[in-house]
Amino acid sequence: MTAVLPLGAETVLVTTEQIGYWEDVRRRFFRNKLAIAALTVLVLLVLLAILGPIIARGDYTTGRLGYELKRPGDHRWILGTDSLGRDMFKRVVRGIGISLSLAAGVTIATTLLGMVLGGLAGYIGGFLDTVVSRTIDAVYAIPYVLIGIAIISIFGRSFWTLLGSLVAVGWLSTARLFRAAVLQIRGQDFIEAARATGADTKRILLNHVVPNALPPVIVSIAFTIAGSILSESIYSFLAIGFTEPRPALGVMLLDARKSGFEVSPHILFVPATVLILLTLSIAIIGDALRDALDPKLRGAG
Amino acid sequence: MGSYLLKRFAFTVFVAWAALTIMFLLLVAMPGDAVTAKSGEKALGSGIENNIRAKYGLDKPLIVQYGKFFGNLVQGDLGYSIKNDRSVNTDFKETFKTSGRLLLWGGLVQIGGSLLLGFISAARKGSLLDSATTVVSIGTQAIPVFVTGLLAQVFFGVFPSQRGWDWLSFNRFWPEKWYLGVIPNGGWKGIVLPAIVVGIVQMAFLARLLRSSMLEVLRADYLRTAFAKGLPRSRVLIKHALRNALIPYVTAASFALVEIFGIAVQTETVFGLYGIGSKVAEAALIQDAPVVLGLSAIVIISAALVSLLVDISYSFLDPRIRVGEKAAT
Repeated sequence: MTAVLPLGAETVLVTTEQIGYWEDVRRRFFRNKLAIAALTVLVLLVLLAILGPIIARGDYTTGRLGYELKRPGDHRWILGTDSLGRDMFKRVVRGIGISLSLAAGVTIATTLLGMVLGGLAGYIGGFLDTVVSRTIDAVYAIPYVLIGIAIISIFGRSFWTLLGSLVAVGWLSTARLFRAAVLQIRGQDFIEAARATGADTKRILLNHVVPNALPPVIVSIAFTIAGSILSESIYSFLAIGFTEPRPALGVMLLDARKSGFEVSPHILFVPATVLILLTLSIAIIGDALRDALDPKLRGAG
Repeated sequence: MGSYLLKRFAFTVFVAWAALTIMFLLLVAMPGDAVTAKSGEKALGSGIENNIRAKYGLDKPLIVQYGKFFGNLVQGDLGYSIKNDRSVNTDFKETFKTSGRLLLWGGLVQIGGSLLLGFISAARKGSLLDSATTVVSIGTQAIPVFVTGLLAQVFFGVFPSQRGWDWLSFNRFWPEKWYLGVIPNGGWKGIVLPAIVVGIVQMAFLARLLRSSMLEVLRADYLRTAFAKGLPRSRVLIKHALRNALIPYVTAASFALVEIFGIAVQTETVFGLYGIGSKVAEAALIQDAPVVLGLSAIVIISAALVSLLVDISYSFLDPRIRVGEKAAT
């Protein structure tokens, strides 16, 4: 970009490229080779979750006698079969879909809830801030597995209670993060300036506070996605999340533990590898986003 | 200093009380109450149901039950299982030793490993160990603890024993006898995998945190002064840099404490250890609310107490807190 800056009588030609913050973030993110690799893996997994059920149609919940624990590559089972003779490939692609759709729901709900509660607490302050902050402190003092255990025991095991219990824990960190960001921005001069020009609260919040407090939230979105996939698998493994015959990754891992991964390690390795690829790629992307969004590192390679 | 400690103490009491109240409300609201836990799916006559409710005090108003729960808790009574009428105190006595030992050894791995790795990575920035710590840190946080545990059992248990590599086979039974209650008396191999699995998640994360705060401190002017006046490098690194870099480390470590319960539940389940975590998960499955509540109370109160101790230890690390200034973190 070439900018022409009038300076008195003279006209100075500035030829250095000037790019906006978001363009800089985008470039720095795509300069990170590890992040690109992670993004590729994630895109492939998402495609697998979408296309897998179309390619590998057919029954994936009923066992077949005589076909148990086939090794990967044996006959037509590219990932082998599990302890009940079910096709691991059919199950695992649906497992990715289950994990991702639950994670999407949890992330949308926690981010909205966290931003509204954290943002209002930080901007308005006073009594509302005290209530929100103390609630966060109290819930933080309870190990998240216990909250999950309690909520799931009340409402029973279903997709929606699992989602609810993950949201009940997940909004805390988003709210805390967003509150801190809003508090810091609220005190700055340009907010004062906006108010002096007659902008109302809604306008200040939406046009000035939210865009500036967004970077930490974007990072937290990535970690919320990874975190809810992790928590889902933990709950399912502890038998308080998804249950058979739903092929969630945690359910498959629990099955591996119960039915002898010592003899047929592939029933452990298949879901474990998929789960690790899924969460690791998202965590690496989150890490790269954090670096790319950090204004202190602007212009750095 | 005195008023600071008093404030922290009041905050700890508040947090523990609020957390326990939330757990109480959640668990007492369970639809599967005493009756379901006792009878399973079978329908009982309403007379029997009412008798059962009366026996466990569930016919009283919520506020009375709440008062009784806290009253008993203060006197050290954790309640009674609905399922088999055993005292939760007995469950606690049976399980806390295993959990305590697991957390002690896991904590040693976590704290010792992270101090060592974080310090060396900062002192030798860009070295192989430094990059390895970064990779392990992202990895351990992205992989659930139970998966790490299962994979550890395969690579340090199943595979070595199939090949007869006895020295690499660490998947052994939990030791039965202990010196002074905490040091395994024979069979030490049995604690290696569980302790590493418990410790490694936060070890790598804390090491990376210590590394970055060390690197920040190393850029400060007073460190240049310390180097310039000719102090030996090791002395500057340990006495000047490490001590100041420890403040954010301690904050993060105290947050990590609450999470360790979730880690312990998974580790105990994977390795088949009879600890507080696996007991709570088991009680939740059969909807034995008093057991979940009683053991949760222990977990919540001890986590709150330890974080209070951590806060007090801050004031020794950071003199600004003692005189009432806000910490830099």
